[in-house]
Amino acid sequence: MANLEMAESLLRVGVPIGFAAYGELLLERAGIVNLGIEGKFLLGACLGWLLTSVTGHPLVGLISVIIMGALLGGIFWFLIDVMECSQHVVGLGMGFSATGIALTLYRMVPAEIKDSSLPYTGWEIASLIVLAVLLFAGFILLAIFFTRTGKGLSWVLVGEDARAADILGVPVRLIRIGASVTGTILFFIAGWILSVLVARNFTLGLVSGRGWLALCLVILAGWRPLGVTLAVVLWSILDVSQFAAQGAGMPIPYELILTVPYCVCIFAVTGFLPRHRAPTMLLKTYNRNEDAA
Amino acid sequence: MILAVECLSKTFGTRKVLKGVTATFREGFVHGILGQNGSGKTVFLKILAGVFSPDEGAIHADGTKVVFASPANAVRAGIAYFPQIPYLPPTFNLDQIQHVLRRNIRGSGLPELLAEHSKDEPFRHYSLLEKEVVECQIALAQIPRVLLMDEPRFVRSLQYQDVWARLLAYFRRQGITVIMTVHDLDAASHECDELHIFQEGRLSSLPKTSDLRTRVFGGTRSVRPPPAISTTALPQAPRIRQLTINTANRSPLQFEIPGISCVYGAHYPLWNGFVEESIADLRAKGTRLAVIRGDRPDRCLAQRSSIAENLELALHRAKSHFGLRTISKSTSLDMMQTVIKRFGISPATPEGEVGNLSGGNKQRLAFARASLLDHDCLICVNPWRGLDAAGIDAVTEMMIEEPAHGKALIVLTDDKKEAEAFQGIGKTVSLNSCGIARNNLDPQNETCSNA
Amino acid sequence: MRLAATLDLLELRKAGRTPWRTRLVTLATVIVTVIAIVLILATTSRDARAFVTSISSNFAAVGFWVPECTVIFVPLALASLGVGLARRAGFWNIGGEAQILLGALGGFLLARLLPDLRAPFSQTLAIVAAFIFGACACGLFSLLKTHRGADEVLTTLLSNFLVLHFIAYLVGGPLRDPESKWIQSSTLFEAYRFARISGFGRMNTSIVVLIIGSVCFLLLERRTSWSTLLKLNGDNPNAVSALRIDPNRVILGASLVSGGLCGMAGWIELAGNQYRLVQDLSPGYGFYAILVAVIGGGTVLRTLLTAVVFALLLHTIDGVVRDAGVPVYMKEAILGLGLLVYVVNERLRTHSFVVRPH
Repeated sequence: MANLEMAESLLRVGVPIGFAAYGELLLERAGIVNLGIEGKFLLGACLGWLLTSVTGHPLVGLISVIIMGALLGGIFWFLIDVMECSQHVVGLGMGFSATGIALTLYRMVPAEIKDSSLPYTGWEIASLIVLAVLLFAGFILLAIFFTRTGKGLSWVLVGEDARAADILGVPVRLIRIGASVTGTILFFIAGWILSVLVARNFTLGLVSGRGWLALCLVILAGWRPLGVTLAVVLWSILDVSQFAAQGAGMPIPYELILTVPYCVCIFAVTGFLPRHRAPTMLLKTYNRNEDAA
Repeated sequence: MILAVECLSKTFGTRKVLKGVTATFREGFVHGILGQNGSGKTVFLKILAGVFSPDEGAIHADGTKVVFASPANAVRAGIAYFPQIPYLPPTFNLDQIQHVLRRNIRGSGLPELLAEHSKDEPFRHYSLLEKEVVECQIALAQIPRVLLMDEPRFVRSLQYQDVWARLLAYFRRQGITVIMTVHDLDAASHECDELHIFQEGRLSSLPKTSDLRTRVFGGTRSVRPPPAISTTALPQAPRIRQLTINTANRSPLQFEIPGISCVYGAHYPLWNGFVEESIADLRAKGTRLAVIRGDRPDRCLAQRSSIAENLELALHRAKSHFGLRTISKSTSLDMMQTVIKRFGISPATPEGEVGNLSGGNKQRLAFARASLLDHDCLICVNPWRGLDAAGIDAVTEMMIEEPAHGKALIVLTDDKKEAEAFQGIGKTVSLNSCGIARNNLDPQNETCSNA
Repeated sequence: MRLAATLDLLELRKAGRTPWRTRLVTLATVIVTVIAIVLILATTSRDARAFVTSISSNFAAVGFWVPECTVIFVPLALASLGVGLARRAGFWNIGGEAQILLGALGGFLLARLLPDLRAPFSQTLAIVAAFIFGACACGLFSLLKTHRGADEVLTTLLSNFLVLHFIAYLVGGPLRDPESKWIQSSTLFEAYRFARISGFGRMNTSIVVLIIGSVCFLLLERRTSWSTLLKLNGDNPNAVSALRIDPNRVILGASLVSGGLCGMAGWIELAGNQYRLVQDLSPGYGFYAILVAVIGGGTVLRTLLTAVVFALLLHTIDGVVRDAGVPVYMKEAILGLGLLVYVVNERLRTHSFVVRPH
């Protein structure tokens, strides 16, 4: 019985983070860093839960979340690729805006909807299992995509050297908008999973660092799809066993445990790993008209 | 394909690089484009390749006007491009590039010209020349009618002579038009069927006559000998020190402090790397350097700051030189005006933003700043680049006075005019195609022991 | 492929930075932003009348809104000076929140360590302790950037959350107030507080710190070349190494001062306003400082002026939140939208779009 519960907890922790990490992996392999994952996660969670509560159909929530994700992904791409604004600032700005909008929506929703948290039916775990399988398959397909197919190699080339990609005829902007839109949709889906499938409710502290965690898992795993899968699985095990240890009365205070994801992130970014694996075009823009060479 | 351009113009910011270029490139011939550094050759090729879009004018292929929205468009129209700086990323290998090519452009696979590396070896293991050959292969795999080559160095190297000969034969057999920018006049007259020259943004065709050298490089410019070092003017007797540049694979070069030396490297394929390595090497040895890069004046100037801000800190460094303890605001403004006037920087307002200056003026600013610094050795890379006659006079006057201040002047250049000018007044060496120093300005090609 | 071709059509080119263009774009941005903020706040409030009355009531009495704005202004201005300084040198200090909290912690720990110290020694030492704590928090990340290549935006941003949870642990555990049921620390001793200026409401003597600090930085800016050195470094580190000055040292110095200023801002918030160490000590000053710094530019006077405007804006929003039912999270949304607007404005001032012929 305990093993079943453990497996269930693993799914509930791992699947949302897995989706967010998948999205960020797609983005970073195209040379884009999104610092606003937290906000988009939260907005996806809020919107998904709201629409599901109001209409009673979780799929309505899912579809609306996908549309929102596509929209915001397009805006993100436009600001970063066409207007060439700083990826840092745009990501942060969109993240803060999304958080603010999400929490404001939550506040403005009438109390009756807020109080009725969705009951647990049997479908949640089944959906989570299906999604987990899809995620695993997705990562394996991505690994094959990035190493064997021409389109996937073009994608990786855009992240490595956009000038080379341009000369070799790769549609750089198309790939970047694809990455942006798909990635943001996945962040929003991750939020929907979190609020509709996992928590069946929406609270203020729902996301609490999972967005940053996804970012850092991608960096820690060396930007490789199979590595990211492993990282997500390992993190889920770690997270679940933390709570078990909490229950067993370990002396580490809860607040300090909350700092662990951020320490891991800083460690990941500080380059104690071979840095040459990072996509070389990360944070750089390519404007073929300004190319000085 | 008969490629023709009509009134092509291109402006970058305030600089008009191409001013109404009109030319026709006959089908099936090898065309060579000559011109000074920065005369617009690369920009022209990039417009033909679809990377840049022209501000005015049109490109005609076989009589019909064509517009390229992206390089991929140009490839589909039958124009392949080989850029000046190799673009193969170090983490990729040939197999992956083939996949990418096949997916994005119709490709016929790569003809086998290079057997030394396996398909799975990443490009970081390739030498510069090998990368160039692979890029040529890639360009040919796109089945072009026109091939644009921007300064292909492997063409002049010894180890790829037979490869180049086979390529030339292939071009003529297939009727491919080749448009190539060249530096080497001898090669230009040998292999190219037609020559064109870029001068001040305009292209004109060049008959292959005997006065080719003068047409391209102009007359030689003589520099007046430097003032003699008077020992009484300096606080202490100048010590003649030796500076050595020790870089891999080649014999060490020695320079004197104070003194004037010049290294001419147009024949050496790895010249750019040599320049970087030498500067890094001298820095690592603790020599106090001031570096001026004529080829890239932007690199060491703060573009978004004003002229005054760029000069301010150097001025404070120089105050001991002028014998002052502190400099008030008005004094420093006066000194800046003097320096600006001396080097002829225009517009002469100290508050003007450096980014708005033309390339030549930025270079003058770099010299102005260097004149205020305290250093042991002034390294100038292509110092005359982008300067007009007055500018050349101003900076040369400053440069040859360096020994009088107890400093060494080292000129690193791939411009023959500069090398010939400094030949009379200082020690001049040139590097041949293997990187070995010779005392004459036209070193022969020798077989190098390692690639 | 036609989609790819359509996407390639729009190109960004550097336009000449003519004065009329810059002013026009900036003016348009300011107008659009103000209207947008007003509209957004108005729609999220309970009703429009409550919205208008709350604004008017919050600015009715000069004796009320000037001290209230000052209470916001002083820490915000200090933090903005700090973030602006670092940015001028080319270092994005997003960790303002962390440095504020750590600075407050530093002063608080000093107060616990030396409870019998008297004013003004107590206050001076506490400020120095806050400065040191904040400086270390920022300098660490600049070292990580220069020596390990860690992107400072990410590391300083993550440090915010890290320090937030760490302070929550301290305040809930070792430093907890035994007599209170809230999760907060015990109150600060009298000798360490900034006294209220009588007749001026909640305004306190910390404004002296701001005045001294601003004068110091103004003098530094006008009389020395340090400010120019920072600007050159932020513009092009190669320009600084051409002068044989190590750009890493410049960034380290700037980030130490920047962190120290934010730390002082945190201590002022604790010792002048809240008198306790809590997790929510900073109402977002670390992030607003970023916005003030990018809008205000690198000079002291412009940063202070922008901070005044922001203090007024924040006072308005606080009032509207309190009285007209605007959700408090709108502040964060406005911050995010402000960043986006700023970044678009910056780009449009110097560049324009060109449709490539096809």
